[in-house]
Amino acid sequence: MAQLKLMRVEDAVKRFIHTRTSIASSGFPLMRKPQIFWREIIRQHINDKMDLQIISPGMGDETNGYMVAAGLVESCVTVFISQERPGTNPSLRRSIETGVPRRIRIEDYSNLSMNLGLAASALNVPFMPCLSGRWGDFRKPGFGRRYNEDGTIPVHHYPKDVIMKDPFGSEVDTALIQGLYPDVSVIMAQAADPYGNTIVVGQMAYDQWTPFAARKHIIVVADRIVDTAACKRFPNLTLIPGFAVDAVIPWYGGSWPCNSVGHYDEDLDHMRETLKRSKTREGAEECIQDYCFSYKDHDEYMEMIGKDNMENLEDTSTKYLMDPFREWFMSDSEVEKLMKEAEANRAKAETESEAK
Amino acid sequence: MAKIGGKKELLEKFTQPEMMCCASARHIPNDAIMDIGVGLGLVASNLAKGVYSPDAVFMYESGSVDATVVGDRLPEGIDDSCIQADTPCITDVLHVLGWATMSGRSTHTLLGFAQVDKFGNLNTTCMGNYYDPDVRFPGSGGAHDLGTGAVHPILLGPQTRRSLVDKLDYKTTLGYGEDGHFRERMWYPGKGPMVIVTNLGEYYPDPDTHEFILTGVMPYSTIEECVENCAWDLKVSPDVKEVEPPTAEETKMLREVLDKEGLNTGWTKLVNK
Repeated sequence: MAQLKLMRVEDAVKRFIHTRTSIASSGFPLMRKPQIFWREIIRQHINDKMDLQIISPGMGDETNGYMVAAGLVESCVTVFISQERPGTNPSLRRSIETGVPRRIRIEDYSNLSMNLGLAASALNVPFMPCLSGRWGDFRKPGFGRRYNEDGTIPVHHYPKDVIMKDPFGSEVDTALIQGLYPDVSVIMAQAADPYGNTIVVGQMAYDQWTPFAARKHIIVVADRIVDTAACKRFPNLTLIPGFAVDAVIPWYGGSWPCNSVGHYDEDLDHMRETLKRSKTREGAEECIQDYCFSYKDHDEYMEMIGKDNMENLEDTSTKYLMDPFREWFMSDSEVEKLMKEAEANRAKAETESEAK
Repeated sequence: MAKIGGKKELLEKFTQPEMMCCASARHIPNDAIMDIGVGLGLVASNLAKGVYSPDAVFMYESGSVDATVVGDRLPEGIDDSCIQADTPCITDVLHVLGWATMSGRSTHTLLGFAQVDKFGNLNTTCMGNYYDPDVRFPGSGGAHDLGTGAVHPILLGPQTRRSLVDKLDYKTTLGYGEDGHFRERMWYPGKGPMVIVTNLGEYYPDPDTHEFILTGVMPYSTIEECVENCAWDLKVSPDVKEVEPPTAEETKMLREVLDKEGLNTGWTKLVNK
């Protein structure tokens, strides 16, 4: 029988995030980011020297900014440090330009080459060929492949990518984009069943590959938990098969202030406000207190967003995209019941493995 | 030669960003398959669609293909929810940038820049040393891929001696390479930038050297201003022309539909609208 994967966010961070963990994130600057997971990392580790690596197409969003401002990040692999029109994240700029509170190492890619780096990891090959990356400063030395604990693909720091002539005889020069190997991928999804089958709608960005790039664990944050019947009805929309997933964190609004199409729009006012406040180090630290430490459960989290504000965001032109799934949404009490069952199962399995 | 440009009084009627949007939108044909970026390029692309090229197919690299903008605002980014509704095809980065762009199917794109050199190479990454920069910009996003693959990139940015530079601080996106001939040494689906549009002028590449030369002057600007605000030894085309000011139709589309609040073009601050 399929295993229940439901897990509380605090438990998932305790289990899967350690010093020097490399974490890949789903989404794009305004879209489908596991913000609640980053908030929880900050809640648990604000005073720790974590030296985390973040692999994310957009590092400019609210909580990645807080992660950097809190000094939890050692390096990031990204293509963009701005939240598009709302603006560049001042916490990232402060770290990169002035080393406050610490200088993060940043490795720049383009969208295509970074996506291919993650695909390489997913396919278990050391690199992927690409027409991008043959010219310019992307080829400056990188550090992306710092993890190799299980000895699968050798670490190879320099150069970041190389150019190879097609060995099959054409004269085409190809850039070889080295693989990017996150330990953990954290995927924000519109819905998942209790067994990990994960449904994503709307733009996919890198996410056909990001989950599968993880070398150790795939963690899903789902706005809604659905009955497996929903996945069976639209199986082509199941992005990640249940068996591959280590944890499903049920958290409606987990992407806020980024969007989760079909559920809610991006909260642009909040983005603009927090980017503005983050212009000073003190302002960023206040924001961390206000938006990572001011809630103790989901109800208080929703109060932090504000009821009227959330209703506004839920009035989205994309609402119809989730309509086919609504009949299978599980209630909070059903989810809580299964959560307890999942926790009991894990406790039992852990006791048994200790006994052995 | 009739006097070209210099009509400063026109700046009471429209803004320089409005002129940039109009000038770049006029380069986009009706059969364009376009990769859409953010910023002023997004306004310019939609201006083209609204006025000149209603059939153009818009692709957003995060996945929306043939997207129309839903609601009464422009997207705040290429992953804004308003371009994920009412869209017939939604896919991912590998399909838009990998398949559609690297196969040469993407005919046009509009790329913004912080710095550009005389061969149309772009910097959107940083000023100063990359490892210890004076100013850090957002980064490539998909620009490097679009410069590689899109057939006819249109470059759009503000003009000063610090933005039209002799040497880029960081080479983010290929134009024609450091000597103007890099694309001839490696096979590229894209042909290289077709035009640079700034707030002061329009620049086309010389067909042999690929060095960008002044071919158009904004109606309020002058040849001298274009030359002064360029760090390389700018050549002026013998056929240099004055760019037409925004038409009534363009202005209406910009102010009544695309940028009602003037966030992108600043038109609401004009005294004589």
